Amino acid sequence: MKRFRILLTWAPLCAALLIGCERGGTPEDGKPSATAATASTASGTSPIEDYRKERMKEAMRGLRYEKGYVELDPEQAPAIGEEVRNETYEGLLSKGRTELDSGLSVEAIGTFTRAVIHSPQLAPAYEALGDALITKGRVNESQAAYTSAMGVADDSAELRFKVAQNIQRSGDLDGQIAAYGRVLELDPNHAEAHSRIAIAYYYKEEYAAAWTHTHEAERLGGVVPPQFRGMLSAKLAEPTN
Amino acid sequence: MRRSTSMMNRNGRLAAAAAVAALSGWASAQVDVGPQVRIDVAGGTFAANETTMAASDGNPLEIVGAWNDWRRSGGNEVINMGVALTLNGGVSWTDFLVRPPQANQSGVEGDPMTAADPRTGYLWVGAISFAGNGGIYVARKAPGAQNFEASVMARTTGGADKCWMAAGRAHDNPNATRVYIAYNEGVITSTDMGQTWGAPRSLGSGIGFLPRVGPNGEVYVAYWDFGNGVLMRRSLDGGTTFGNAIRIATRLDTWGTQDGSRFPGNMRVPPMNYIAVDPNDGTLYCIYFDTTNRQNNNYNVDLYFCRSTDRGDTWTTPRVINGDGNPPGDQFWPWFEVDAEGRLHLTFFDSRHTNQNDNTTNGMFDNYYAISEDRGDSWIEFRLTPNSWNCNNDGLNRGQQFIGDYNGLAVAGDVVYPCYLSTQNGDPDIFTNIITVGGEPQPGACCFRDGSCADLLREDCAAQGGTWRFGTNCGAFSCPQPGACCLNDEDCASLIESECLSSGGTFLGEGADCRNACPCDAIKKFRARCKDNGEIVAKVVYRDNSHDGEFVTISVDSQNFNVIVLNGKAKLFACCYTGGHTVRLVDPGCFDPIDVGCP
Repeated sequence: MKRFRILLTWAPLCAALLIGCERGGTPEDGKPSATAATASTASGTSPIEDYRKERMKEAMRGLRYEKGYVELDPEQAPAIGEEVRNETYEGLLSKGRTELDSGLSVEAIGTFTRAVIHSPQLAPAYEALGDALITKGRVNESQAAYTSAMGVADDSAELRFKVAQNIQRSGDLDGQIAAYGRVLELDPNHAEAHSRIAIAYYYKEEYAAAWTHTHEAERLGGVVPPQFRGMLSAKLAEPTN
Repeated sequence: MRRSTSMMNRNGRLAAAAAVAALSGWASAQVDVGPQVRIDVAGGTFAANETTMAASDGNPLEIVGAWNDWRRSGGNEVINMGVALTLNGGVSWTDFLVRPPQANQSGVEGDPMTAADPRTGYLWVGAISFAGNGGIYVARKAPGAQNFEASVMARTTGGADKCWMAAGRAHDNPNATRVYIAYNEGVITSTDMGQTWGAPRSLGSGIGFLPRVGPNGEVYVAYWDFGNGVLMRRSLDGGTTFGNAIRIATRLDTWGTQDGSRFPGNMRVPPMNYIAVDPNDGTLYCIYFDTTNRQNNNYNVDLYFCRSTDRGDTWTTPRVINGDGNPPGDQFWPWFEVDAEGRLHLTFFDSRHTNQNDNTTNGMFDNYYAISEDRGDSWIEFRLTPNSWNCNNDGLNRGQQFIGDYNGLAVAGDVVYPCYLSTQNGDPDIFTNIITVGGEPQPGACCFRDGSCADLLREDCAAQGGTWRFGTNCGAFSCPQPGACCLNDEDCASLIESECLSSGGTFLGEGADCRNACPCDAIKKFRARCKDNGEIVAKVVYRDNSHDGEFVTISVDSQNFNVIVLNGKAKLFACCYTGGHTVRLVDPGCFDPIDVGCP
């Protein structure tokens, strides 16, 4: 099947966007056992995580994310492709969006995964998959999905904005500023991008730059969070010009 | 934000009095913080976390707390919902597990929630059984009952995540209660005190859906959109429909649900949002936590507060309400309630007492209580934990620490009960404090089962088996009156509504008399007459033949006769009498006695 030979390689894009493409799972720091009453599973994870992990594992089956972009799993994807062969791409997208809007995140991830496998050359399922993954705290995988969406489709400011939001979640202030800056490259009138850049500069204690982007956001008809103005003013009086 | 000053009195309590208030410019409430009380005693040293607690003015001596409980764990983790219950205002507690129906049980039953109904004094606990045949389960307790009833499945689903619940008056009937559970799939509603539940009404994508009920039955559900949105949706028709999302606030910072990188320790800290409603005027309040700034690569996370006086249409600008240390610590997982006097009571975790970096494994935390008497404009804080505790002592052997996802607090009358995890003893335990707000104890209306009322102090009311009402007296408050209660065995009893419902009965209304028309009874008619020959004939007519073979008891004066039911009827022929006599249907006893005259 031709579609399964498509290999999505957007590592250069990862580097260009200053996003981490090599990240793996949840970090573990080798925490020692706490008390005599410590309970553990054989694997050292909780059954609550096992249960959810099993559901997520099944939902995500068929795609791989380790390289920072989405790849078809050569062992799993062909069989899933056969399963969805008689379904339409649009139908899968619609179903997944309904599930996501109903709070059924895991089900939505499963459906969007199948949509990607159905038509890996199309971007919307990657983007939707990225949206769904973030609802389960899967920031790295979400970023990989957005990266793949950017790789197979025309670039868009909104997709770049989602990428920037994930970088914001990671706490990388410089990366955040750069990523929201890339939103402005495509849409210079994106007020919220200016607002987010202003907040990042505030956290970096670069208050003058924070004011600049605050004013830009407001000039474009957007608003910064109302509490932010007061907080910024407490650090640096608002420039008059 | 002013830093509060606390004083330790001779009883080991923290007290804030007028002098302190004057010093800080704060308002006038007297706050007496009792010592810590551990409430998961039977859990031993096993892990416990993720607390919740509920109580109400409708039944202020009965308080319930719940948490994730690992007491059944052996080599592997087994998680259940631990529950602590007091029937005497926190003087003594018992703790136990509440599990779903057997068919829906699993090795992981968690995400506990509680609710209390201020109208009836009912309590609920509930949680999620995380399994394919699991879902959301709840159990209720009637006022005065010693135990919770058997749990019921509110929603059977393998995909449920974080639920919270609330109870309050129905939007269309001040004398009816509706119970709500909000979770990732939407809001489900019960109109029969939590026995049966409807299908979920989706609120869209989000997490941490927290329902609250306003004084007129309006329903508010706050949630987080996984991004910058602190959101809320509102229903004015009892949860049947919800309006569009309302933005309470916009976060400056955000992080993923599994991320705790903004905090000391190695646990996740999901940034969910919390609302509460003033039970008198419906003022809405919101508290959430967000990054205020970064210092030396450490995030300074604070509690942000805002308020709405138009049912959530508009909100004040969020502002930080917590005190802090230098360098600043993090404040997170707030839970707050508004009491009948409009005072706000808040509890939260706090890292201010230890100078520590966000990347430390051994995160040190305390628990705090704060009160505001001026609608959130100013707060006074109390440290509840004697020493900071180490989050690494979570009692679990996982790759990532876990100390739950939230805290709890209940308020009943002028007494506040925070509910929180602390590892101060080297293992994770659940604590509360009895925090009394106000001056000298005042008597309140104490309602008894027969509908009578006496103005008593809270403790005296409890000792006499009454139900105490905060902030009112018998002159101003009408105690629930007994009425006919149709029971499952088709008997009728005169009970107050809460007792009737807890007995599984149907309440026919206050003052309804069992001796009169009793629709609960399967009997259609009861007739008696005396024939000319002095034979008394009494007839009981059932509505159908389902009682054939059973006996009814009919008395003539004081003499009882057991009469079999055949073809839906029981007939008594008793001979022979003269003069006047009284014929009574003794069992079932739903009808007025009949006087008959014989020749």
